[in-house]
Amino acid sequence: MNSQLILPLQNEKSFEQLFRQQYSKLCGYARKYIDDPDQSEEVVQDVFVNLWEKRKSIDITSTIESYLFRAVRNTCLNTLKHFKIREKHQEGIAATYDNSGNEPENRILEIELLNQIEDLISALPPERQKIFKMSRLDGMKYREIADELGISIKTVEAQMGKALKYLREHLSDYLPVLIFVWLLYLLNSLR
Amino acid sequence: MNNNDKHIDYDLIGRLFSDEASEQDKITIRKWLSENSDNDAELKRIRKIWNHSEQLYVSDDVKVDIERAWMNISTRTGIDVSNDKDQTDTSRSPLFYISRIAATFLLGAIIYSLYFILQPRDTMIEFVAISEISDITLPDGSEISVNKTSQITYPEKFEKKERKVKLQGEAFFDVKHDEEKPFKVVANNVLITVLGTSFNIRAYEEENLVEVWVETGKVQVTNPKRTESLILTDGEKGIYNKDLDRLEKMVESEPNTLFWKTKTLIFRKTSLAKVFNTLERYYEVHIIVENQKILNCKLSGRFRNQTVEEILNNIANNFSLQYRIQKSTITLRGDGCEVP
Repeated sequence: MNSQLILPLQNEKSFEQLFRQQYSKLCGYARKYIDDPDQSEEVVQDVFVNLWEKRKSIDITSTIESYLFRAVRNTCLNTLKHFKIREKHQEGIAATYDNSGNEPENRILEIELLNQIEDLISALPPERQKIFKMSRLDGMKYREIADELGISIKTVEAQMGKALKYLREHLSDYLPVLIFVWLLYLLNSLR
Repeated sequence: MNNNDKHIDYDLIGRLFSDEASEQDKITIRKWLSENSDNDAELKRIRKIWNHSEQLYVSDDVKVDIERAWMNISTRTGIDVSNDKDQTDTSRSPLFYISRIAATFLLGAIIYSLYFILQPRDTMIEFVAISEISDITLPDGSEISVNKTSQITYPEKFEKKERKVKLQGEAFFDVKHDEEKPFKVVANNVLITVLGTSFNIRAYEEENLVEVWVETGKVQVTNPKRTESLILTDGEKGIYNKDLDRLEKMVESEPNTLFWKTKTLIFRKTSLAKVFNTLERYYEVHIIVENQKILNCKLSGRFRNQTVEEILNNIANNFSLQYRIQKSTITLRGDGCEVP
């Protein structure tokens, strides 16, 4: 309780500022998973309300921005799961047109994959993580990364290769499931 | 140790995906891909991880009513905007006022720059074909013929992930193939997704059906709730019924879907019952037969650029019928044909 709150959560004014800076971007992000504009805005608003209410107990280990993105992603996930349950109830009625649930299913898997990738990236050794983020999140070229960190391009290459290998190997249990579900989805649509 | 592991050079793949690969790298990759068919699947899997890792914190701004949203938040959290004023009164520090002014400027700057960031992305072009069929080419090279009174809305520049357009009315699409960026059409809330193909959509707001007819390629049609979808291929037609919220694939072939564009009607041993349905639909006339047997007659023929009178003349001559036109109602008389 006594721990120092991160800056945007210290007072109402800075919280409002954070909200105004991030809101439309996060709504755009939520729209990737939830088509309805009103519902996607609701998701983002829920995230901010929750953040404010729990500001004293929330433990934000990374940046506030990545926290918000993940929170939006997970709130979308819950909403999608809720859709799915509701559809299950309606399935009896629409038994002859039983393609329902595929689209949300895919989005749920996509979110779960993104969460896993995020976790894996944050588990990389600090230097490797930094290089990977500079390349993938900031879109920097190898030469730019090397210059900024004062290392050789060869090192950047090797770190990127190792990061990619780590992600690929640790997601290996998960990917076949994703591909399997995707195949089911295709078969189902072709029926 | 999996034998496969040894053959994957992640440094090389990293260079390839980062656009840092040399010509030699590309040759090596091609060779690796040709060695084993699994390698291609493997590369795709790694590509998927690669692409996803970029999407972690990336999104496009959307238009939102931020003031209304903030009102919601302040109501729900109890953050009172008027609280602010009390604080102003009690605070005597000049630094407070300075920071307040600075914050105002900062906020202004943010809104100002947001305006500019949002501006180019939000530039949507509305293309309306008022009195004649018009052709347009989209930024990606896809070509669209837009029927009379129909409208296409598309961004000046397509987003990174997809090519999304909106249709009101009817249009024929010849979409440029781009696997990375699916082409999506929203028509009366029905979503049509394609990679590259040619197809026709008829989605007039006042009609209760949205019809999608595929000339070539593969198209996915998804209902407005995004809970059901159909895959259509060459010559197939999918129909979404708004009233019933039902998606169906039509088995029957429909050679005249593109009549509005080609001005050509083709009939192959088609019963006059169906021919008249087609004429009613495309010429906006109402056809009445005095003798039901007329509907049994089977017509074959191709009519190009003909008026409805010219087509009726042909039918009347063929089957010894007489017809009368009053405004848009056509009445046919005659013996007709026996059921074979």
